[in-house]
Amino acid sequence: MKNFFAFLSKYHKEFLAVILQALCLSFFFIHNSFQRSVLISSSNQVVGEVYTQKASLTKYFNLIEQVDQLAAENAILRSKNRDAFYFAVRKNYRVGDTTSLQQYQYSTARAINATTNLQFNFLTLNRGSYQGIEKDMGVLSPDGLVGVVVNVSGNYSTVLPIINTNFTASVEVKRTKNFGLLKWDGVDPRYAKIEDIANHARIVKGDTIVSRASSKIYPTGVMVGIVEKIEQPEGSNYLDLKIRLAVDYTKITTVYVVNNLMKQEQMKLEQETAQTIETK
Amino acid sequence: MIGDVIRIVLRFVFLVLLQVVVMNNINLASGLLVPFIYPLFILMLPLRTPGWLVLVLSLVLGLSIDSFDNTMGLHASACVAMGYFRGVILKMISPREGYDFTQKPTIQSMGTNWFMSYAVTLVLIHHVWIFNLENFQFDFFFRTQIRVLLSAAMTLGLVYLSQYMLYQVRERRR
Repeated sequence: MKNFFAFLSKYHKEFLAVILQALCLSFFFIHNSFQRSVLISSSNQVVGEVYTQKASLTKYFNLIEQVDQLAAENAILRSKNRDAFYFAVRKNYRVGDTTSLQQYQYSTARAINATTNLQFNFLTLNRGSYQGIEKDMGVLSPDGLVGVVVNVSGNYSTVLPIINTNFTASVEVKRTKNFGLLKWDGVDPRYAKIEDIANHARIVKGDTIVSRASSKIYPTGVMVGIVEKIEQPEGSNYLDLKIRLAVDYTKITTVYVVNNLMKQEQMKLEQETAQTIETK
Repeated sequence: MIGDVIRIVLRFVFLVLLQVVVMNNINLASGLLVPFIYPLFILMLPLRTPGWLVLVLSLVLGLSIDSFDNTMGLHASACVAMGYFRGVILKMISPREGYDFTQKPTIQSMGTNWFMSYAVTLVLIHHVWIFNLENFQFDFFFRTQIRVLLSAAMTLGLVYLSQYMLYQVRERRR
């Protein structure tokens, strides 16, 4: 204890200086917001770094939500797109209130399951009849055509994608308008085949393949793929095309389900026509 | 002794008023030249003043300036630092035979060399401390050091002048 007091009295000036300096600096930092903010921010730098790292991690969790949000907005916008309308009034008709009727309606869904390594691949969507999904609705992704809804439960639906050997759809070459039948040979999920393209069609490698409205499922002009190879089977009057699919099924997430509001009408008309011809 | 105390109190009031009324209005070279005269008070404290009293007086001086400048603690902090280093510097530059405690820390009493090394060191400590604490960031670092040097030069000029004005007048009056 004696030594302690001796120590104190020996260094009393230093102690006093430190105490007074601490007093001054605490006054200073309490009363001056700039220095305080610098002090606080630099002492919070470690905490901030942790928060930054945390945010950069958790932003990937929110990403799904954000993507859903954006996709929903896209669906609304697509529904308003000119291509989504059926022009009901011809030019020389008197223009009434409505010049166009909605033909295609888009809603979003998420592919929660997808197989790509089978012959009969399927996709499962997290939307079903409660959300207005019906059988035979088209399914698109931002990249292009995905498939068609084949089965619907309350909250889920299954999709027959292009990469299922049961899938067929009528497609056309965007540039020349020649159409053929899209099929999958069951080998490589990146490639598909188009059969029965007219022999005289001048198709080159790199031509774009788009969907046709004849299927009553998809709107016209949805991207399907790019021509990779053109071949003419021996003794055939038709061309076969090998195309690279626009959609990568191994990483498909957000899709749009397309509802053709005029499908019934078109189908009914076509059936009636067929009956009429049969009865004749 | 009583005369010393009165003289110190009067010097305190005079220097604080000179600082806040006159010097604080001087702002030359767009803020690069900020003269401080009040450190003269710490420089002029009698050599026999005990260390703790120097520190306390420094604190009071700094807080007085702060209360005028609304910079709570800035001047006080620099003054306390200066007050502490005053003891250190005095020990470092003491004459071989030690101080004669009737001596005053003035040019007249201690000589120009001694006084200038004493004043330059302490004024520089004060100015480095105050300008860097005020800036408190690495932006404008070099500008701050230029401020320190220019302002210290001006302060030292004033301190030097004071040696020939205030004190000689008083000596003569006696």
